[in-house]
Amino acid sequence: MSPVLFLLALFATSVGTGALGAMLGLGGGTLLVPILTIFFGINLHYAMGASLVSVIATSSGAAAAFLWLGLSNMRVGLFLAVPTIVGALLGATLVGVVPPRVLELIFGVAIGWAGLITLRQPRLAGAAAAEAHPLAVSFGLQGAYFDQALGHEVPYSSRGVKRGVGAMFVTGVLSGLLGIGAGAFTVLSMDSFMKLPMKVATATSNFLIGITAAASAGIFFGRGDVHPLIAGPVAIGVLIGAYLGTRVLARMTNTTVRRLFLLVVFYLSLSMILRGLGVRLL
Amino acid sequence: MRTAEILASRILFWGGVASILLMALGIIGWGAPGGIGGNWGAPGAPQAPHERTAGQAVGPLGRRVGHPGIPAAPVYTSVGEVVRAWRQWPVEPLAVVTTGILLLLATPFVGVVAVFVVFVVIGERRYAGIAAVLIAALLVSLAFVSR
Repeated sequence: MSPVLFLLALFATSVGTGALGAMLGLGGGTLLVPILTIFFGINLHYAMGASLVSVIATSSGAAAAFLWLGLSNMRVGLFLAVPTIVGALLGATLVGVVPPRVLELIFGVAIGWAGLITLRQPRLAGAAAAEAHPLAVSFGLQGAYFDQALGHEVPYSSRGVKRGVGAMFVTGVLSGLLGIGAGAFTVLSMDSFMKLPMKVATATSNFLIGITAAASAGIFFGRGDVHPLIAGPVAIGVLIGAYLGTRVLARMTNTTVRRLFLLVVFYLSLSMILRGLGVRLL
Repeated sequence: MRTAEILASRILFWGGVASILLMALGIIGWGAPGGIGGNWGAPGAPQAPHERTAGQAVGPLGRRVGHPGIPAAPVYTSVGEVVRAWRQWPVEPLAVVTTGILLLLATPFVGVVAVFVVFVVIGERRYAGIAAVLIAALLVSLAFVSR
């Protein structure tokens, strides 16, 4: 394969991955790293570097829109960014120490877990505002957003702030260690522990993962893991794909999305676990 | 707070657009007929930052490249290397791609700095402090690229 053809294949795959990631709610990086590693034979570290760059690109686009619309809660995002970014810096530093096969194994388990947790039914956005945690009151971690589907403003507040902070630290470590945005884990932490409405959690997660990925990406870049011929086409492709994916998503049924999701995530999870154990499917 | 949100939104949007355009420009320049991508590694072609010493072969690229489709190409690891590449003419297209990547990496940082300034101006001390902690953490990361 000629270099130009290789780049075109990489770009096309990234468009598909970005679209699939957006449709499945996993983000591009979670799917991208195993796809680049398994199908393109790209070194895991380069795949992670490219993934992080693509996460910042998609996050910038989505977070800009959600902040503009007032759906992201900037206070929550900044508050949770502190433990996440500390975890991400720790995780990204560990990448150079942990052997690639162990990373592949952890990755396989992590995306399998991400697959399971994102299969959960999201809570209804219109659920009653939970009783606020004292820390949430102190830091102003409450707000309201206008829900177009419900046709009225939905007030909300945060609970389980301490557990949320702990979960975000772990999420940060995973993000830095695996070179992914870890959006699924971020949303889960805000949804399950802090009881934030799903829409707010998703929108705020987009803002948050960009900051976290930027912190990890700096370390990857300094280590020489961000290859311009891989990260460039991948970032552009994933961004375009994510845009297309959100359009396609609106036309798909939940059942179709879930079937597709199960198929892709568990295949990739199994492949990465087996690679970590020294068995290659392809 | 709304001012901070709108400012961050604009910075993220335009930072993202500018960096993607730079990446696309660099890739097109690299792949275009007569582009440097076609003769990288050829006698007389410029040396890549990590291809200077045969013994240290290509740093990350030489050690890690895992696919024959990935051509030998420079992998920049610091702002200094990218700046030096910009000083040469013609500019190495992959330095343009890397500039786009660096701009993208810097975009969230610039966003947090802008938000910090807004918080200071409106007297929101607690969140100004949180933003300051984030800036410090991002600076640790940026220290890796600014060598």
